[in-house]
Amino acid sequence: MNLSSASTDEPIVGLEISQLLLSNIKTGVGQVISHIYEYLQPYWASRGVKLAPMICQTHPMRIKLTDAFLSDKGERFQPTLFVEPEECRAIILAGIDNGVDFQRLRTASSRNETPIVAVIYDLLPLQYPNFFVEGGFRAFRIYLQQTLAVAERIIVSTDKVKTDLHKLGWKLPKEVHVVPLGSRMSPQTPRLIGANQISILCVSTIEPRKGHDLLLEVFDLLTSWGKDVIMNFIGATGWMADDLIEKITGHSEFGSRIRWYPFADDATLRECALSANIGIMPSAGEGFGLFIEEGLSMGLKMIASDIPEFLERSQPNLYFSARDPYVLAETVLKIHETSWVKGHQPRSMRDFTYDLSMIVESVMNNSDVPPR
Amino acid sequence: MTVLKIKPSIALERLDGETIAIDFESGSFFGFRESAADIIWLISERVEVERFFDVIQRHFRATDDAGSLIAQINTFVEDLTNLGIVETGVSPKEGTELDIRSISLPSDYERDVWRSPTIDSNDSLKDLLTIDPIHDVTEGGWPDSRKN
Repeated sequence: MNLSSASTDEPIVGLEISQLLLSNIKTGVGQVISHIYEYLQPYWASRGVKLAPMICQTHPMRIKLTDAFLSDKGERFQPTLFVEPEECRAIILAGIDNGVDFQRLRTASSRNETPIVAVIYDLLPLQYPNFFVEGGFRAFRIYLQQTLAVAERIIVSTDKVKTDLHKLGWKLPKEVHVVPLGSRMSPQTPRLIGANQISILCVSTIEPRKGHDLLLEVFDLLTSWGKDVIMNFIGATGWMADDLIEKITGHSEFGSRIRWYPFADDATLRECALSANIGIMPSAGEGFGLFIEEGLSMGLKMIASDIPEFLERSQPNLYFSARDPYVLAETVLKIHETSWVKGHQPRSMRDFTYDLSMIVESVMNNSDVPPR
Repeated sequence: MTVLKIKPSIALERLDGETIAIDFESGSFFGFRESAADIIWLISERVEVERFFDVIQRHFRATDDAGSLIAQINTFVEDLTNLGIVETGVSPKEGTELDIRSISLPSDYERDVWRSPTIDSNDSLKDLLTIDPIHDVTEGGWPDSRKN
């Protein structure tokens, strides 16, 4: 890799960005890396700290691929901006990537006393191995073990993930901080649609654990009760989704009242949200489930499954339901009749990156993290 | 009595009867399943090597004779030493000698017949070490980026 290093006296924080460049699908993880850079680069510049992109990979193929992607998407990451781990005063790892050169990071960290702050999104591949392809369990545990071994601080997005990490019984870094993610969507108000129409939006990759099959049952129930229902799915095909996709695309209402946008961009997402009135997140398990905050910021009343990682984020316009088609269908009817609570601003990605910056600054300065 | 310890540069964690050791000095990875993971656990608990057999025989259904089982344990320990995973010259954990009968192996998998312990080395793990374990995998095989 031929990237010139930045030359500056400012303390440098390196952000490992390989996953943002390499991921073959648009993922929440890529978005988090992107937002950390977008928000913290100017914020820290104003505080005399330089946030710089960093690529620290072991495998020649991945380095080559990263170079190729950089030449395509490199306008945000000019080669002169890149730094090496050894130059950094702190390092942020926000990807889920076994290709990272953890050995080099650990050496740089211990030689230069460079703290590494790592984001761990969830432990789902360990908890629900049947929802992931064979090998995912072992690959994920190796990623997790490496990350925990190099990081001085860990960031998780929910209390549930923090509890799960402790339950593993593994050696954890000094502190595990809970810093919830947030919405990247700016606020909007849905158009007024017919008072009797129930227009549902679900944004999530199509995977068995996400609950799309449950929503199809809810659709059928509401329709059988004589309700005017539209069901919009936004999300790329995930893992082991063949049966599920067959169910969606094979439904008699597919293409009319049931719609699926596998490659939706943000404009399509906004347009779908404008013509919806309820967002549903019926997942069986999530690390976070960004669509809750995103749906709320786009003016949707949200219904989430009553799993711990969702329940801890209780806030106005967010309602919970058991993962049962009858209970969920009845909840949809009830929430459809409930008025929108005005004046609440859901948490944003800017809030997340600000809280992250406080933690990184505190480890650089060896001081306590101020309360959120 | 011989007491071993895991080399300090190694990060070792156990889950569901499997231990993975990552050596941050050499960059090597090792996997240990079931009986092998149990011996690693005994080492990390600083139990004397000569007492491993006592603990093992209480937890497994042995089909081999005691001599053969002890030989398998010793060969495995020798392999660990040769690979630089463990080091000698440490003191036993306080109270271990008196309390050997109370030592119970972790109950994170179901034990039955004793199988000779083995080491999975880098070769069997290397495909896992170059990927994004979530987004590079597909049902058709992975890593996806390798195919592309």
